[in-house]
Amino acid sequence: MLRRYQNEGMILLALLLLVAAMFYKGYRHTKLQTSSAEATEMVSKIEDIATMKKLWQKNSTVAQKLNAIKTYLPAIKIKTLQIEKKKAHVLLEGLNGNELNSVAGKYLASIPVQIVEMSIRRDGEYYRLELQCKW
Amino acid sequence: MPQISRLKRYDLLLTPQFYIFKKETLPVSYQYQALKLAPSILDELTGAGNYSYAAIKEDDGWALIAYDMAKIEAFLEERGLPKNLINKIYFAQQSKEHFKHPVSVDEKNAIVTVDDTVVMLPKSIVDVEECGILTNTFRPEKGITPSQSRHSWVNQKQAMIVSALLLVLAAGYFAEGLRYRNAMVSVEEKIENVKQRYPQLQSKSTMVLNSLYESNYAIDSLQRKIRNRLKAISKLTSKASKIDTLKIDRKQYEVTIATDQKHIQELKKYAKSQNLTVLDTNNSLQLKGAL
Repeated sequence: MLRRYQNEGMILLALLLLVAAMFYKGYRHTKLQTSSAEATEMVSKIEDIATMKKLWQKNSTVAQKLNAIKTYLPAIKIKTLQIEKKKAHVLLEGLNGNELNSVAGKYLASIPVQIVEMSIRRDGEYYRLELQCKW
Repeated sequence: MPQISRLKRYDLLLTPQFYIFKKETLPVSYQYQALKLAPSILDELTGAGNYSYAAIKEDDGWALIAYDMAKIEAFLEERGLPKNLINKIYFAQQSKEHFKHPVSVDEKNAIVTVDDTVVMLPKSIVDVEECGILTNTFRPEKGITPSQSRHSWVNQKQAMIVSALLLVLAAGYFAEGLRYRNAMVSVEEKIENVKQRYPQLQSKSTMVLNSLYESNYAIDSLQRKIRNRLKAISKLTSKASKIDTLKIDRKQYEVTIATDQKHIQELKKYAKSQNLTVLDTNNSLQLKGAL
């Protein structure tokens, strides 16, 4: 009986192989797509984590940059400049409008510290600025 | 006719009345070449019919044989041997050396080799005393396996062509599958390379990485918001509008800007365009909102 239908059997076997190969290709394609998407997302996340960590938490130049405020302002206006274990407390008094703009708007904003709290208070023509930050 | 068992398969030695035979010296070396020539050489002897062909190499040429398998099967069916019980068929010509003396095939006939050709003769013209009987020693070395697929919907050639096409397609799909598998390896290598670039993150699981990403993203996003608010607030200040108080922390901002009636509408408009929340006041601009 089997020999009688050997031609059909041959075609059927080839057909089964074709179907198996199609399933194999489909399975590999789906797996590649899923893995590629996951990998791209993971690579992007790893790179982002590293970049953000470096920017906000592992920046070794922050303390140096904060200390450089002494070159911008006269010492009398720097009431407090405490830098301890990746935390800083800055208190500046008697700033005129230009100095406030320069320090708050440009200088401090450009230093990659995590601002915990910042306050500004005007007293006549002069300003008091207090900053608490960490990195 | 002996009893036929359905459980056995039978080898048959065909006597000359079941085939047409011609001996030819052909300029060919291989059986398949002789087989190709057989139909045209035997054409005038066969006439109409669905013939198959066999070619047997002999010392001085080729023995070409034509046989009609349908007729042979019909003959055997009549005698109780269905075609599915046929294992191999042989031709008496293949065992010509065994028929130098007559061999009895039934009550009336015997076969004998005359001039190198096996022929069937009535027993009446041979010496009955000399007649041998057919035994297994007469079985030639090579036989023909009848094609059991002659009743198939497709013939062997068509089946082979279709199967070959399907196999080529299958090979294509399989090769593509392998290509995708290799591509997977490069994706994994990509992840490994990135992890090697950042060894501190190498041993972290996906869940830990997600958690790390979330916490770092929260910090990054918050600090960018704080800076954007400060930048927008600084653009609200001028000679005519000065900050009275400002307080900004990780949750909210609160600003009071002293200005005059002339500028306040303009400042409110700009503050709103910067998504700053403006409180309804008369003499100064007050901004308060969450981060």
